[in-house]
Amino acid sequence: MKREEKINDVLKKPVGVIYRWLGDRIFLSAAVILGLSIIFLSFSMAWVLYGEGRAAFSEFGFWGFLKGTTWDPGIQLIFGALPFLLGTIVTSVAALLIAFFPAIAIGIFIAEYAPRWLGNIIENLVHLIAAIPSVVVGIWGIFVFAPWMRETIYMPVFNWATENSPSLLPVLGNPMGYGMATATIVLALMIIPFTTALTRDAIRQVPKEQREAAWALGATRWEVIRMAVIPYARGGILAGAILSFGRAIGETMAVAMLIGNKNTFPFSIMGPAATMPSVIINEFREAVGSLHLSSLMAIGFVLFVISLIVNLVAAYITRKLSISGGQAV
Amino acid sequence: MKSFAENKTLFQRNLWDRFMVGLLIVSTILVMVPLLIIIGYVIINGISALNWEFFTEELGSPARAMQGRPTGLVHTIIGTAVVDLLALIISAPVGLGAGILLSEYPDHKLNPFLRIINDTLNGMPAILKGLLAFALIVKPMGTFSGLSGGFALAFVMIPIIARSTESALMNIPWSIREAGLAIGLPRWRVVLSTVMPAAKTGLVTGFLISFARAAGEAAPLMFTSFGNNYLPNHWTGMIFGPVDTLPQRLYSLAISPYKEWHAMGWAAGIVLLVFVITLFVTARLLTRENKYN
Amino acid sequence: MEIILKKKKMAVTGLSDKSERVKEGIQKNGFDGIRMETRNLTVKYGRVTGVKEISLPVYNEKVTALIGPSGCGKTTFLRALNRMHDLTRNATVTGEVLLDGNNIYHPKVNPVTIRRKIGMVFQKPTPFPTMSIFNNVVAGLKLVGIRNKELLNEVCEKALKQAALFDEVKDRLNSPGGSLSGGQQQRLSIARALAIEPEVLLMDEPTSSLDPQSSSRIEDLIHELKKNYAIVIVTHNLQQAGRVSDNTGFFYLGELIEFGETEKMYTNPVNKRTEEYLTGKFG
Repeated sequence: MKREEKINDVLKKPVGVIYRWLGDRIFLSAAVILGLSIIFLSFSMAWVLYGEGRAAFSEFGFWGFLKGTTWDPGIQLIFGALPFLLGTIVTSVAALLIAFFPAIAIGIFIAEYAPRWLGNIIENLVHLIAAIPSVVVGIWGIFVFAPWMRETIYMPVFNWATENSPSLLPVLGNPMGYGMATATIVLALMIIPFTTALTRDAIRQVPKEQREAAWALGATRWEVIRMAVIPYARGGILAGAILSFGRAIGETMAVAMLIGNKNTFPFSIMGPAATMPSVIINEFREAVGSLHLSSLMAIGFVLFVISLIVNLVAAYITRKLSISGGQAV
Repeated sequence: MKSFAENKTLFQRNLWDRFMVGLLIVSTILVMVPLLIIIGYVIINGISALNWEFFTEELGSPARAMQGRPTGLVHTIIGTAVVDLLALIISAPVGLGAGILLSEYPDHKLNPFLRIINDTLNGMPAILKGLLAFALIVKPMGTFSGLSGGFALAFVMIPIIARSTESALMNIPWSIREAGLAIGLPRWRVVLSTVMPAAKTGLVTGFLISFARAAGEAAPLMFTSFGNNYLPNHWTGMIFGPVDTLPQRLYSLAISPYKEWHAMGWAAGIVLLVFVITLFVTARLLTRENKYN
Repeated sequence: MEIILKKKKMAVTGLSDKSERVKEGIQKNGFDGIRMETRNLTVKYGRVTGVKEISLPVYNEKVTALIGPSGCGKTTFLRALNRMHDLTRNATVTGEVLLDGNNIYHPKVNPVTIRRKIGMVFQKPTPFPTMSIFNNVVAGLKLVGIRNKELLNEVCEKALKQAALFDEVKDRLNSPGGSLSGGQQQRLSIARALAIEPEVLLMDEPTSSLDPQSSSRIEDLIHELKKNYAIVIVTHNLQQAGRVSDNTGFFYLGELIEFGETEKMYTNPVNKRTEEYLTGKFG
């Protein structure tokens, strides 16, 4: 009713220029300008990161910077990004491997098996957990998880290795608790809710008819999932996994708090390491030399490029593998 | 007879079905439990460190805490409010405008490109948004500032708001727009006074979700609003000078060598968690209400 | 050779030989015997009644058509015949559905076995889009662990021939099921349902999403299939029901208003509503 009254009020007014054509033009232009500003923002991100990192790229060469293994802001002023690049890739891949199957299991469970009320509860919890700030997970990691890992896993493994096969020690690394393994596990925990939500979304897209077709062939519940649900949702699930990988790559605070921050090779399983975001967080505020600052920006640019690729691949897969109306496109 | 051996009886198939359910339930529990444990730890450790001074005193130097003098994070809480509000003010028009363009002008040439760019920007690590704000605002201004922090968080929020605005407006049936246009209303008027009010809940939900996401981010603030152990002398210092914010302070406290500060870190954690969860639960409740209407 | 394969298949699928069962049913019920029968079948969604106290026989080697205006409950009724309502969250089914005299809603009966005896074809074609045509057809057999390539090939060819699709797809059995045209997809769905050799075939408006040409192919197909199966078809197309069916049930507002031989009902309906519907006065 109110809306109709409003519309009537408007109609009664004399029709001004703003109601004839000017208003629409202003409105559309404003929307376009605001839309363009998002595009501008994205491009300026690439431009700024490259521009600020140019000094480092020209000093060491683009590939030279990527392949350099020395990171010495103190004496030699040599900067190479390889340790951080590898640290990021290794932790993210490992985290995705750990997180992938449990996340899909939860997604399938809440979509296909759980009664509706339970599914809703778990789904809301998953979303809630995804909203926990990274620093909050980080503080738990520092004071609870890392010490616990050291006492219950790293020390026994380390002691066993010292006695039985000392050759393993360099691979295992320093069991102080803050290191690659700890950071990876926490990273996996943090991306699980994200992967789960995307899996759930992908499964939601599966039409009822596909499930019913499988039921009608006399499939059990699991067989319906295997035969109709997962194949249909595979594009979405895969894209979700890739986006989760992108999440893991950019995850900063918790990793910076737990990975131990060691800027040079060799990295080891339990020992400290570093990732691209963690080194930026750790050194940016204290960076004095302009080459140091520029190198950090250059790392930011590398991170940008990797994230860009990951996002575009995910978008491509979603489009390529998506199935519409029962037909594979 | 070989082929007979390959045959699965109904019993076997049901057993396999049961086994898979079991596996799914077990992995659900295995994942949910540690994640809930995190929340539990933060609450238990944080509650004990929360006291009156926490909300009324400044942090000051580490000596203050070690000598047992009252310290707190009042400047952090105020700073968070200022920076978050700035972020909201900056991001709202941009996100709304882009969302309106995407949903109300579906044939606009810019849209396919804008959608890809927006999703990509959303997928970019928050730390890069901090670096961007650093280069665009901190450098020209010559100082770390609350304003640059607001921009950094706005960069986090904009793509989320744009997407949620688009989907909230898309949920409104086209017939409502056509009804408005049919009585001779111009398009902008239809959008502003019929479509957007109808999509109100969806819009607010989107804002809350993006706000919850940005409010927990520390990475973009580390080199924009930077941090500050004291309240600024004048309120403009909140905008034009370095400002403390909860996530960034939590990080600094957690990696500091002082036991007293660790306790305050837990307390900051509980405040941040409660803040983010409140935003989040409100958003969820709104969506549910929306569904029933 | 064929006999050997057949025996092997009996052993493999665990199903007793179909023709034997049919003979048994014929002995029990006479040549035009009742294959399936519902007794006071009621389906409710929550508190809303979908269909109410339907009692209806389904005869051997006959096509039974269910007609009525949309929303009258004919699809609801059909889905009750192979326990598809088990999957709808708030649906409850009361009454009995007898297959060869046994109630399929008996608590000890596993719905999975029931659905293998009572096949179903849906309104929209539902090939599994990522599976090949071959795998689509034999999907039901692979479920029970049949891996024998020779046997699968034989069943696939037979089912595709029954569904009058074999000639069109024999050269591209490995291309995805989603790559076929709409009419072909629907015949593929039928072939898939036939491959598990059901005893009764349920068809839920199988031609409603197809063009006239594909529709008439499916109708021809139904004529062929009825030699071996009891068929129940839901259709909103009166001409179609008249062309393909032997018996017709008229549904209105969740109730079975009239049931009888199609010819008789179309020429001389007993109920006034039926007459009005058939003459196009409503619906």
